Amino acid sequence: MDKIYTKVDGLLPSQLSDIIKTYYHRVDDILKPFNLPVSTDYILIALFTVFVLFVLSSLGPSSSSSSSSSSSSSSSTGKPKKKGNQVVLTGLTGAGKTLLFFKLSKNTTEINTLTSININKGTYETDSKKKLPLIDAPGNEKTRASLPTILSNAGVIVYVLDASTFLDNSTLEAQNLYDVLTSQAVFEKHIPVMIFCNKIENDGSTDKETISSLLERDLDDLRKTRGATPIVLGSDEEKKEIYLGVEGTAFQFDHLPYEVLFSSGSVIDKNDELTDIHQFISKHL
Amino acid sequence: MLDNFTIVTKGGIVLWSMEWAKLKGSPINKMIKKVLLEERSADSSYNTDNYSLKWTFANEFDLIFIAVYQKIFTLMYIDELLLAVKKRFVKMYKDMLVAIKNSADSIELESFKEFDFEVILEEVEMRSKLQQTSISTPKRYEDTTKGKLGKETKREKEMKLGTYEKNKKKEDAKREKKLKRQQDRKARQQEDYSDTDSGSEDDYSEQEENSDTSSNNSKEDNIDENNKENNTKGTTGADDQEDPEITKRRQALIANMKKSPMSKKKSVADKEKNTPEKPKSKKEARKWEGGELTKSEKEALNKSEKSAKKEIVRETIVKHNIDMEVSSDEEDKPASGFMKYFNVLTGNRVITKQDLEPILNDFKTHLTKKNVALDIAEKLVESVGTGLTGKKLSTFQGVTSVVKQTMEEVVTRILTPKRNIDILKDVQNVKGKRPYTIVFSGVNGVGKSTNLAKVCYWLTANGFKVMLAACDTFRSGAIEQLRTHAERLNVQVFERGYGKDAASIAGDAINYAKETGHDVVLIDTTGRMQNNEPLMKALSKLVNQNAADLVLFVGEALVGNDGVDQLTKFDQSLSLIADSTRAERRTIDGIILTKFDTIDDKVGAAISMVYSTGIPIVFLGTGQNYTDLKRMNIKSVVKSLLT
Ligand SMILES: Nc1nc2c(ncn2[C@@H]2O[C@H](COP(=O)(O)OP(=O)(O)OP(=O)(O)O)[C@@H](O)[C@H]2O)c(=O)[nH]1
Ligand SMILES: Nc1nc2c(ncn2[C@@H]2O[C@H](COP(=O)(O)OP(=O)(O)O)[C@@H](O)[C@H]2O)c(=O)[nH]1
Ligand SMILES: [Mg+2]
Ligand SMILES: [Mg+2]
Repeated sequence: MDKIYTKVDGLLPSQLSDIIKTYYHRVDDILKPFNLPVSTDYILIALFTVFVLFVLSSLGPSSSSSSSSSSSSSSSTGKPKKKGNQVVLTGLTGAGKTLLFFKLSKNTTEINTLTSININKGTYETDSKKKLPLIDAPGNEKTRASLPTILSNAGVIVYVLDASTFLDNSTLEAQNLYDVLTSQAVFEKHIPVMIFCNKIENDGSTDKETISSLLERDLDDLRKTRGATPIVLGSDEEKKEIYLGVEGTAFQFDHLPYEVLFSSGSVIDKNDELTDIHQFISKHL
Repeated sequence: MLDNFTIVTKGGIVLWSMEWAKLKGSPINKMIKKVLLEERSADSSYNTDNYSLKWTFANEFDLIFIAVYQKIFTLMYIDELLLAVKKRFVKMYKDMLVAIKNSADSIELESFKEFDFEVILEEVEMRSKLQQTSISTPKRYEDTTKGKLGKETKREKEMKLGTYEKNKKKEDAKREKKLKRQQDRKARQQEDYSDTDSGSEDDYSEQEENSDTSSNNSKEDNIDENNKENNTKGTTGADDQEDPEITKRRQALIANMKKSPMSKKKSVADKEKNTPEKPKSKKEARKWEGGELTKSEKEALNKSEKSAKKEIVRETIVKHNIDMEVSSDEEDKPASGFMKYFNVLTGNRVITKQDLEPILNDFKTHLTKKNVALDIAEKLVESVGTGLTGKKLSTFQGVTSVVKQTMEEVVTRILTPKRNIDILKDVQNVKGKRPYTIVFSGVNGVGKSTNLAKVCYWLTANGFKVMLAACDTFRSGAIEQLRTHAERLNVQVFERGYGKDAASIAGDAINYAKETGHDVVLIDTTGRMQNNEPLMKALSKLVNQNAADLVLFVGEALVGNDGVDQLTKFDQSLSLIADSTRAERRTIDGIILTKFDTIDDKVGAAISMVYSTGIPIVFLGTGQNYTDLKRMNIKSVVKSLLT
């Protein structure tokens, strides 16, 4: 039998023709018992046409915008690309993101959490009753690779850190924050970031001013060393390492082309209404 | 004993949890981090501190069911319990679980409070106990000397305190409630299976008899608890220890019964034969429901003949097997005919073990072709399998593509290091105080000296003053090789000739570097086989005596299974001669995988090494030039591995 895909084989990239092959057989299987008078080929062509039209009509504008954007260079002075509308919670494991997720979406902390493997999706309602998607990203190191994708649709980022253990973890914290701040999405779309210093009700917590200046110092070091590591192997990602802030001067959060705001509080404390976070989100989305 | 049972989403939200004893530390979080996030879910249990943990997934809803119990107890029924609870929970809350999966904030914790876990636990526990007693002489707790003693002391104490009557009433009330709940549940199950189970009437009464035994069990539990309270420990768990002989015989028995096609009929027949010996279950049951179970009646039940008891027990096992068959039918029932096509179209198809098996096998072969060690390839596909069984396919999604995508995620997670090694920053941190020392270790000819030179080039380019230490005092030409590199790179070599003790040369080199204001000392070592214990000890001495800052293992990307063996042995041997100043065991900090330019897409060694040890790959050696030192791009390695 001369299946239609054999005719397109070679014309298309092998991956695509593989997909066509798979679906061809599946459609064939589905249609066989009906004994239709027309061959599967024609049905497939018809289905495919409808599908293509559908995809074009629904994705048309967005796909064209994304293709144009990937060609524009990632420069901090250039005009930022359009942000998404998601409120994304990120930060190291144990910072309190999942608990914050519930406080923001359901105004409750009556919940027990364990370390997250996957993201949590929910809805955040602003004071003006606008509904925004709320995403709680897992903080475990092993899930780091999924972060760029999670951040890609962010409109604002709430970076949660544990102020009560900050001094023991400052290097790790700085590395992680560096990854967030230099991620493609944040850098190109100028996504505002709120750094929320959580668990402040604990004795011995570091205040947000100290945290801010320690992070600035560590980020200053990091942008020197990260820029100098041998290039990553693999052609698809030989992008230039993004330089954080202004070259030649010590790093300051103020130098970034997007807002980075510090706030501190306690998610677990019922009386803490987290006003800063609410205002921050409302201001930017 | 069971200490904790938790039902949690993969997002980390605890939906339901029960605690019998407060957990010390956080064993569940530890398990998630050490096992699930490291893609070791092919393992079936995890031990930490005093706990053992077992778990199962409901992948359709992204749920994890976790049981935590004391390591010292061998609880035979945990696997069964996990499955039973999963089945019940998923059935009871299906709609809500779908909603939660789509939007975690649609969760209403209140609704999970009514989950009848205890009933399931009791049932499973009872089954397990009955299966034990069925082969050995029926061993009721009260009948054992210990049990009697326990019971008597308990009574005595209660009499003294004048609480006996009160407690008894409480116990009775509790039992009634339990019975009632159990019966409700039975009734519900009855509805579910009524069309598949012809002997439903008989089963119904049979189950009630079981409830009686189970209420005896619950009394035992109470005693146990009481004993604990009174600090007369020691009677607990006596029943949990099982004779291996018994296990064997029981398994044989169960296997026999499974084989026999008559088993079900037989159970019904046995049943009829036995009914006269026992109280008319159905009527009795009504009476119990009314709460009129008197003490004498209870005693009559307890005194029932040994043989009769055995029969009941056998029936229970048979019934149990039927039960399981029904349930597995329900779960894995392959959709047939038109429904199958419909399911493909609407995306309602659930991935089954049978779907996965051939695909996973193909993947395993593929991985081994890419040079992944065989046992690791096996573990990987198993881990992917456990993560996918029961998941729903979306419209027109093929199982193969889902497996591939999951495989991608799994391998990415494996290769993602837990800690970023930032050598430049670490060097910077100690600069001016002391030289930073890096040891290059590995077997012969893998590229230790060459890649040491590349690292030297890179550090020099970043403005650090680097010195090489020629501690390969064995292979002829090694020192000359290093000298050549040093000349080209315009750095200093510290050498003491051949045949000397490498550890003390390294020490001298570090001291010298400190005096001369060098920032970094790169220590070249003799290549050695991982099985050569004297030489491995010497390496350990070199590393520990000089408190090296970073120990790198240099390995060839071409190695097959031996790579893992090399790496693990090198890693372990570093603690042969311990460094008392370090609290933690000395380990290999990172890997340099060399000759990456010669392997095309056979990148398997990278996965094998990282998976088996968790040690990150710091650099890849990609050629003979000084600039051929690269950071690994996880994405492209994953791509090479899976295409
Ligand atoms: N003391 C204190 N504890 C908090 C606070 N917020 C969260 N926690 C606790 O911190 C622990 C971790 O919280 P999670 O929300 O699960 O942490 P997470 O950031 O989601 O962690 P991952 O999912 O591993 O990334 C939980 O035990 C919380 O109860 C706070 O404001 N104060
Ligand atoms: N193609 C290639 N060859 C390498 C690489 N690294 C080392 N080599 C070669 O492997 C051989 C052994 O290297 P050497 O550094 O002497 O190994 P040692 O015995 O471990 O010190 C030399 O011929 C090197 O040129 C690499 O990344 N790629
Ligand atoms: Mg979380
Ligand atoms: Mg050498």
